[in-house]
Amino acid sequence: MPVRIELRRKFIYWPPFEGRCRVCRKFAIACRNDEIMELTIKEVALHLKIPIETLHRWVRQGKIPMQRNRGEYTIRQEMFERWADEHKLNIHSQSEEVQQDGEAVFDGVLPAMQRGGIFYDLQGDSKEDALQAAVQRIPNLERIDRKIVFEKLLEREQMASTGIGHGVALPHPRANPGVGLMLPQITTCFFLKPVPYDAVDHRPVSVLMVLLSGSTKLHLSLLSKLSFYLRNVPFREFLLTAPPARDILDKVAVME
Amino acid sequence: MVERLLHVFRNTPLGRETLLQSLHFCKTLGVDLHIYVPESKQFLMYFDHDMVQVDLDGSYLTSPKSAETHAQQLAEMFDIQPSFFVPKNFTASQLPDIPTYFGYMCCPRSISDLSSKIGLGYIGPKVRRIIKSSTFPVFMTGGVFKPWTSITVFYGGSNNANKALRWGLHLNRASGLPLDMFTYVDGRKPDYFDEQLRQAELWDEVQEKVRTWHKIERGGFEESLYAVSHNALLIVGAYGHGLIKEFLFGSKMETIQSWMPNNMLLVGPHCVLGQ
Amino acid sequence: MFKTVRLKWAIVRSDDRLIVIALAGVVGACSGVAAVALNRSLHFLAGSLHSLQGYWWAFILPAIGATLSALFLNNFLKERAGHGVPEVVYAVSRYGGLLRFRSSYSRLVSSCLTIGSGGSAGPEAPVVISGAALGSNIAKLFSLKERQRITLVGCGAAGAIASIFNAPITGLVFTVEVVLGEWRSFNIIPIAIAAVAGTEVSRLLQGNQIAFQHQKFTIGLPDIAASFGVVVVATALSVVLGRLLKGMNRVAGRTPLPQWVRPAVGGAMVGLIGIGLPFVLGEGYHSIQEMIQGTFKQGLLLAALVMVAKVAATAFTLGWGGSGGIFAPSLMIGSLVGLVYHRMLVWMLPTAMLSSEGCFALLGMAGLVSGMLQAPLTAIFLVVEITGGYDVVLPLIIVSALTSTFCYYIEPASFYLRDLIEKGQFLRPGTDARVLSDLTVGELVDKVTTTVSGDMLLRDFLPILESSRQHRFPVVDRHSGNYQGIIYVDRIRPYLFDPQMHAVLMVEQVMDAGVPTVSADDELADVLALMERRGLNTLPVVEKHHFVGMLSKSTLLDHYRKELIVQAGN
Repeated sequence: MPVRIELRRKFIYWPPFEGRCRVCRKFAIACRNDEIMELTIKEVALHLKIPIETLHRWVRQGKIPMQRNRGEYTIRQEMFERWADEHKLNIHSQSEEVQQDGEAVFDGVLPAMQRGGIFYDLQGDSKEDALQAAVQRIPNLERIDRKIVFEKLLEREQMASTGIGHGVALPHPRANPGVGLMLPQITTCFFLKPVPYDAVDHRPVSVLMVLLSGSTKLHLSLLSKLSFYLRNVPFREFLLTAPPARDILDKVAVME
Repeated sequence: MVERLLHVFRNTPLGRETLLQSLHFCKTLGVDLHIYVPESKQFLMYFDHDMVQVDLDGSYLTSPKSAETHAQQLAEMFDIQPSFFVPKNFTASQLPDIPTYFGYMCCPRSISDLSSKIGLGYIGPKVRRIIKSSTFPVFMTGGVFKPWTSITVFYGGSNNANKALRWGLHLNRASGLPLDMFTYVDGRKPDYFDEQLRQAELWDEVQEKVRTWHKIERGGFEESLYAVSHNALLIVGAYGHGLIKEFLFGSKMETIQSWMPNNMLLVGPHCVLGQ
Repeated sequence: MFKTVRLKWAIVRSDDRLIVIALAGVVGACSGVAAVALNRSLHFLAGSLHSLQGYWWAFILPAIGATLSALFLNNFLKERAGHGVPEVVYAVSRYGGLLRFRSSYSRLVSSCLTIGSGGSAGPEAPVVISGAALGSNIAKLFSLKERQRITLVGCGAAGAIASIFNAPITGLVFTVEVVLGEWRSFNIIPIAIAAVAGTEVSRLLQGNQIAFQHQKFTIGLPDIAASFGVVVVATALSVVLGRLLKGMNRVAGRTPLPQWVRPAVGGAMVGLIGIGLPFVLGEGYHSIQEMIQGTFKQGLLLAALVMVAKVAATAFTLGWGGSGGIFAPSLMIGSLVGLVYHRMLVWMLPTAMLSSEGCFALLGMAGLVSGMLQAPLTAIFLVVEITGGYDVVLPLIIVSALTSTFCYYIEPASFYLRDLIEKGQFLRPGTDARVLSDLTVGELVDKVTTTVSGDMLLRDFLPILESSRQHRFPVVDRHSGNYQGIIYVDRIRPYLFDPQMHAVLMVEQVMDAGVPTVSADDELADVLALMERRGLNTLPVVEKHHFVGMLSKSTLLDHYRKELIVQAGN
C-alpha cells in the first residue's frame, strides 16, 4: 500500500534512507526533488561532526549561512560545500572506526577453517620443510604471495616458536602479510610423522594450523579464539588423531 | 539535561505566593529551581535577537538580608533544593547580565511596575518583551498560590498553537497530569483543526494523550471560557501573528489573559522545545 | 529561466555581505546625523550659556549640568553611567553587539548637558555609543545574525567618528582598532562605506570644513629629534591622566554622598577652575585651534598651568560621574603638551631650528591620543585628517608609535579597555579567550554509555571492562542514581591482576571519589584552569548529583580547532 504523507516542506524524504547523501555518500537521505537539495541542521551537524548545540550557536552568530525555511534552518548543499571549502573544514571524510565496520567482520573460527581447508598426510623433516609443505596447500593465494607468506611465517618462527605445546603449532605472520586476503582463514595440516618444531614443551608437532588474515584486529581475535579452543584438552586430543575434516568442523561448530 | 526554571525572588508576601507557584511547578514537573535574589533594581537579559533591560519594581529589594532565608524556607516545604543564581557578568560594570539558557522563567504579570497594577488583563511591558524574545516559555502566575491539577492547551490551529500543544504534551509527559485541549471553532470547519494537527504530525499523540478536547462552536469566545477548569495550568501561544493581524482581529491570548485568573504558560514565537 | 533566477537569488540572499553593505550606508548616515545633532546642540548650549559666564555664580553651571545629566542617565533612563566605548566593546565581545535602543540617544542628551554647561569632556564617546546602538538596533530590525550585527555596530561607531571630525579614515581606523579589533574584509568594506556616509552627512549639514585649519609646516631633522621629547612628556601626561581619572572615580565612590550629588561636586570644582582659567571649560576645540595656528597668546607658565588645570578638570568631570568621553580632552591636553614642550625648548635652546609651535601641538595631540587609547593608527590618521596636512606625518608616526608602546609598558591596557580586561571580559575575535567563552561545557561533553554501580564486586566489573572500549567508568549509586566517583582503568591495575581481590573488592573501593567535577554551565576557561592545576586530562561533568558525561581535552582540541577556524574565517 502506498504511504501518503502530508507535504509540509517542498522537499520530502520518503521513504527515508533510500538513497545516499551526495555530500559524503554516507548519511543516507533520499530526495525526490533532485535539484533542490537542502540540508537540515541535523545533517549539517553530522557532516561537520559537531554537536547540534554548537551548530545552533554558529547559526545564531552568523558563522554559517543557514536560512530559516518554515521554522527550520536549512542550507543548500552547494552553499554548504562552498562554505566548508572556504573554511577548510572536512565534510567528506569518514572516521577510522566506520571504515572498519565496512570491512570484514570477525565471523568465527569455523568459517575461517572452512575457507582455509584441511589437509592430511603432509611430510617434512624440519620446521622449514613442514612450513613449506603447509604453505603449498593454502588456498586463495597467488603463487608469488606464497613466497611472501612463507618468508613471513619463517621470520616469525625465528623470533619465537609458535608451537604451543601438546603437538600443535599455530604458525602465523607477525604482521598483516599484505597479500590481499579479504577474510581470515585457517589452514589445518596434519603431518604423517611429527616434526621437530622447538615447541614450548619440546615435543614434536604433528598438527599445523596456519592463520592468515587481512587485518591485525581480525588476526588477534582469531588467534585468541583458536588458542582458547585448543586449551580444551578433549578437543586437542581429538585433533591429534587426525580425524576426518567433517568431524573436526562439527566439533568446532559445537564449541562455537 | 534537567530543565531549569528561573525565578526572580520578590521578598514580600506577594513574592512568596509567586515562589510557591514556582515551587509547585518545579515539584510537579521535576524541574530545577534557580532563584535570583536581585541586588540592584536593574538587570539585563540578552536573548538571541534582542536584549531586555528589566527595571524591577522597588519591592523586589525589600530587606535583602532575609530574602535568601525566606526562599530557602519555602523551598524546604516542598523538599526542593534551589540553586541561588549569582550573576557573573555585568554590563557597564553595574548592571548584572542574567543568562538566558533556562528552560522556563517565572514572571508575575508585572515586574517593573508597581505591584498595585497587577490584575487581570494587565501584562507589564517588560514581561511582554521577555515573552516576545525568549527561547523559553514564560510561566505567568496568578496572584495567589493555587496548585493546579491538570493542563489545558488553547489550540487555534496556528503554527504557534502547535508549538503550545507540543509544550503541553511535554508537560503532560513530565508531570503525568491529564491534558485537555480547548478550541474555539470560530466559524471554521470543525475538521480544520484535525487537518492542522495531522499536518503538524501531532494527530497520533493527541489521540493518545489528550483527555478531552473541548471544541466550542456556539457562543462568544469569552462566554466559552467558563468551560475551562478552574485548577488547570493554561498553555497559550503568544504573539504568533503579525502586528497588523493582531491589531485587526485582536489576539486570543489577550482575551484569555484578561478573563482567566489561572496560572499560564505563555509560549512565545521564539520558543524552542527540547533545548 | 525562472528557476535560475531563483537559484541566484538564493545565493545572494544567503550571502549576507550585500545586505550588510547596504545597511552600512544607512547606519553611517544615521550616526552621522546623531553626531551633527550633538555638535549643534553643544554649540547652541554653550552659546546661550556664554552670557552667564560673567556672573560670580557661574561656577555652579557645570555642577547643574553634570547633575542633570547624571539624573537623566541613572534615574530617568535607568541606564548606568560610563563613557560608552567600553560598553560597546563589551557588547561586541560577549553578546554579538546587542545594545539597548535607549543607548542611541541617552548619551547624546547627557553629554550635551555635561559639556554644554562647561564640563571638561568630549562628545566623541557619546556619539560612538549612539551610533553603535543605532547600528545594533537596525540590525535587530532586519534580524541579522550576530556577526553582521557586530559589523553594523562598527559601522555606527565609524559613521559617528567620521562625522564629528569630518574624517572618514579616522572613523574606519578607530572602529577597527579600538571597537572591533578585527581587520577583515568582511568588516572593513561596510565600515568604510559607513564612514563615507557619515562624513557626507556631516558635510551636507555643516559644510566641508576641516576641524583645525593650519598653515604649512616645514619639518626638519631637528624636529624629528625633538619629537622624542614629546614622546616622553606625552607618555607621562597620559599615565597621569589615566591614573587620576581612576583615582577620582574611587574617591567619588567612597564619599557618602548620594549618587546624583557626586557629579555636582565634580562640576562645581570644574566651575571654580574655570573662573580663573576659562580654557578648561567644555570640549576645548577653540583653544586647540588657537594653538595650532600659533595664536595662543598665553605665556609658557600660563600654558603649563592650563595643561595641569585641564587634566584636573577632566578628572573632576569624568571621575565624579559627568557624562562624556576622553577623546577631546586628550586632544586639548595633547596640544598643550606640545605647546609647552616647544616653548620650553625654545627657551632653553634659542638657536635650535625648530618648526612652529603649531606643529608640536599636533604631535602632542597624537601622542596623548595614542597614549590614552593605545591606538597609534587612530592617532596618526586623526591628526592628519583633522588638520588636512600631510607635512607632519613623519614625526607623527614616531610620536604615536613610541607613546603607545611606552604607555603599554606602564599601563598594559588602554583607558577604554582597562575595566574590561580586569574583569576578563575583553574577548577579541580569534583569540583564545574568545573561543573559550563561545564554547560551552555542554557542547563538549562526551556521552559515556557504560556506567557501573558502586556496590558492584570487582569480579562483576571485569566482563564490563572486557567488552567495553572506555578507559573511565563513572560510578553511580544504584538507587538514587547519584554520581559517586570515577574508575580510571589505568589506576586500578594492581587489583585487576590479583584474582584474589576480585571477589573481595567493591567498585566503590577502587574508584576515585576525589576527582573534581564540573557542571555544564561552568566557564570553560575555569574548567581548563582546573584541569591544569590538577594535572587531569578528563573531568566528569555532573549536574545536580547526576552524571552527564566526560569532558576531555582531546574532544576539546577537536572542537576548539573547528571553532577557531570558523571564527577566524577563511
